[in-house]
Amino acid sequence: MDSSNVLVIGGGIAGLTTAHELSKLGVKVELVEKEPFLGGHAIQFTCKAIESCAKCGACMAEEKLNNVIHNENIKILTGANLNRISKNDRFHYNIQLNPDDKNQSKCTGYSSSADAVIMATGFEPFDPVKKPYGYRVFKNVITNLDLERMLKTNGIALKPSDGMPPSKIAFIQCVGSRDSKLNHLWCSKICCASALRMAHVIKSRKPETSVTFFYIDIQGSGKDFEALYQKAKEDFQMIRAIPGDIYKTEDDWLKINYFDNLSKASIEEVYDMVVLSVAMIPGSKTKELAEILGIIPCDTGFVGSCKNNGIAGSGGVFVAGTAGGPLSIAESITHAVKTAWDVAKYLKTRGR
Amino acid sequence: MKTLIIGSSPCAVNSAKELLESGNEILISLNKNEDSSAIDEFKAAGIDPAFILTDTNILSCRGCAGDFTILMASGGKTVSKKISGVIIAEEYEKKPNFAAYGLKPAPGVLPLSFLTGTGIYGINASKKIPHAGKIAFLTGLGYESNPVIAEEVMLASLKFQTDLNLQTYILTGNLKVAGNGLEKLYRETKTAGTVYFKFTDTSPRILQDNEGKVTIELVDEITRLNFRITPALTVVDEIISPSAYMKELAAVFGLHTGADGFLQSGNLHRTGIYTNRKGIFVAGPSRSILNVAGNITDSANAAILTSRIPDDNIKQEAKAEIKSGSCIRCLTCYRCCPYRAIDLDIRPSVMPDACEGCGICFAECPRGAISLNFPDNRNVADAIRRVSDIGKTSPLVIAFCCGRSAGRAKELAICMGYRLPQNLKVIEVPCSGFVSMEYVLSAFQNNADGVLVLTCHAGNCHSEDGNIFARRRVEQLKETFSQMNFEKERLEIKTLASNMGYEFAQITNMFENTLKVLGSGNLKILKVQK
Repeated sequence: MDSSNVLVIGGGIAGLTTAHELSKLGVKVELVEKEPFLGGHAIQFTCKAIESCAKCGACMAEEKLNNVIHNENIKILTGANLNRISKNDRFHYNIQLNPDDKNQSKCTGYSSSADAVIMATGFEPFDPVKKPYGYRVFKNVITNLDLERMLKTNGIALKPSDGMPPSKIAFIQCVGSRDSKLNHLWCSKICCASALRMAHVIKSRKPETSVTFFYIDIQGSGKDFEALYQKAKEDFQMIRAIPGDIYKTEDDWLKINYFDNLSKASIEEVYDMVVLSVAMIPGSKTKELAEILGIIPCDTGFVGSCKNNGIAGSGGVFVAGTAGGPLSIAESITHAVKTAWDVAKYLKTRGR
Repeated sequence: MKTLIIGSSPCAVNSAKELLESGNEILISLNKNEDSSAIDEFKAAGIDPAFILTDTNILSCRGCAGDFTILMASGGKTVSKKISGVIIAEEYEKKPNFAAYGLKPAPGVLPLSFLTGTGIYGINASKKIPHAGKIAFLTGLGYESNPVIAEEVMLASLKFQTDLNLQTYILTGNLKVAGNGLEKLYRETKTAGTVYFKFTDTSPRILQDNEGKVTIELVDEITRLNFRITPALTVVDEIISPSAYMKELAAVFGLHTGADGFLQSGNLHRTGIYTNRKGIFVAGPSRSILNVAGNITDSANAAILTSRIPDDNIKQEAKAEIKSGSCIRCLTCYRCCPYRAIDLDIRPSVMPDACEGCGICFAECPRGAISLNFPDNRNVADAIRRVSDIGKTSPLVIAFCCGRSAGRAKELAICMGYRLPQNLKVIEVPCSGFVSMEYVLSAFQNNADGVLVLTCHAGNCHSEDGNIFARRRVEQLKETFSQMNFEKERLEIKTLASNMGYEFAQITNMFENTLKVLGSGNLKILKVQK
């Protein structure tokens, strides 16, 4: 496979993993990432350990990153956009390299070709402005991804309004997931466990913090989940309802309205910070790119095969990671390794 | 290069197929519990039964990736095979959850796998399945289920609703829809007429009379109305657990198992199909509860990783070496090596291809008979000696940092511009398990005011227990220090992950402050209490 060459679109966990696996087989890889940094969403996630590892996988991103830098078989192009791609036996593409901050030169173009293309374009977080929760209106309504970054840089949760630790936090799950009105008929898989773990971290560092969870069904299973969930039931208020809306009170607290099944009444409760666990949705350019590459997205908009979470690479186009649908970090890694194997087999059939 | 595949699960069959098709050699080993249908599974996938050893138990495994010698009891004979890599893909066990729901098996009470095995496709034909009345599914009540079971329950209920037009009820706690297509399937079952009762603050009362007939009394938590169901068929979900043979395999191969008994410890360094041993992989039902796609993904992972042996043997790591003459065969190294890299022949020796250079054996060897040789000729003792405190204005902190976690966290802290203690000297080690008591003491002898040992979090040590060894040594030293009247606060052990730059700065700065309060310390000056 010495003469073959593969284009990986996306430098998140899946793109990094699949590039590394292919490089080990002697395949030359070009990895294109639109952001100026590698590691995708996961590199921004916080470690959720409290003395013991919480198995969140956030640190895996660092490891995968170290595998690809200084790898002679992998050419990395960050801050780069795929401009044009066409297939004529091989794929021919054009990349626009954006000027970085230091070097204010003009955009430069770059053309190359590949035998196979891997879509590792990942997911986008659902924008909760479409929900009546006051995101971007009320400062102290943030998303789970905002909280990841906040914990990573400060170690504790801080209210954006005044930089003080919150005393009463509400997590609202399934914001944009499992939502028939939005036609988002999928569970985003990772948000329950990661929100529970973040809440545990917050509470372990500030034990006086009160935490409430609003949920439909708590997801998660496997090795450590039962203990994690048991502790959540002891430490947090778990409410099986999804709030209708959020208002701001006169003293700048956030008033949440929800229907309580037990009393069959609408209840109002105030919090000083609200975390929205937003859905993983298909990237805004996924559909367009899929069409150019000749693959049909599922009705969810993701490009995985609709029953299995990986599509066979007919015609040299492959998918790795969450471009195919919601996956955890660990699942993205195994999925990307599988994709590398599929690509290697494909290159063999082409005699390369 | 020959790969041994253990088991007949779909994941095992697919791994065999993938490897054969890509021109690799295989050998398949089936336990005595496997019947002829297992061979049929392989045949159906186009695999020659000549590759299969039936009625076979693995007795021992010696050597390292690329060069394993595996002893097996096969059909009453003992055979030895040269193997380059191993894929364990044994099927897990499913036990019906009758007792948890207070039920006994009866004609109207069946386990879920009766339907999902051959049953679900033969619902119309099966005599055991009623063609009238109501069907109740009990799943994930009082325990947390998983998406694989949830999918089976929903598919079966859909089948009853649509093919037989029978009313189905699903009684559950948290419905596990965290699998591809499951939310959609959930909506389909609801549209087809399946009724869900989800329990949070109440539980259903499940009663069974002497004839086995079931009555369920429950509160619908949404409307708070009482219901009473007398189903013609009650379907009970199953608890999935590792098989007895899997446990045997864990012992034979020296694999770390998880809290759930599966053949992976949950350590993130084994993410995917890796185990604590190079060249031995655990795939599909032997590591987790996966759906069909997940099992196929695992088999592709198994194929790529075993076909790449021994190229993946990492050469750039430090390697332990046992000095002949000093060793007294106490086998401490064998017991504490997380990678099974110690070969016990006439005298113990380290297999370089299996050694991952953690240095736990070096620090634990009571005879000092083991050295750890770094590819870059690094010498930690020299590095400690070279630390200078000349002209210091703030406390001298020597921090032993695990290169996989704290070392990276330090880089991140610098990169993010956090302030670090002025006289912080970081000594990077391959694993905190390498930090012997001698190293800690020599740091103090070289005028450190304080010593930090920074390890990975419990459960995330690449060498499994390296951080626990380090902690034990630190605690022992602290105890000794207090007896010596030397402030034990000058020695601390803390945990960090590679992405914790902020916490690295926080821990080191707080430690510096503690030392500032304590003032200068010198282990070489005797403080006699008068």
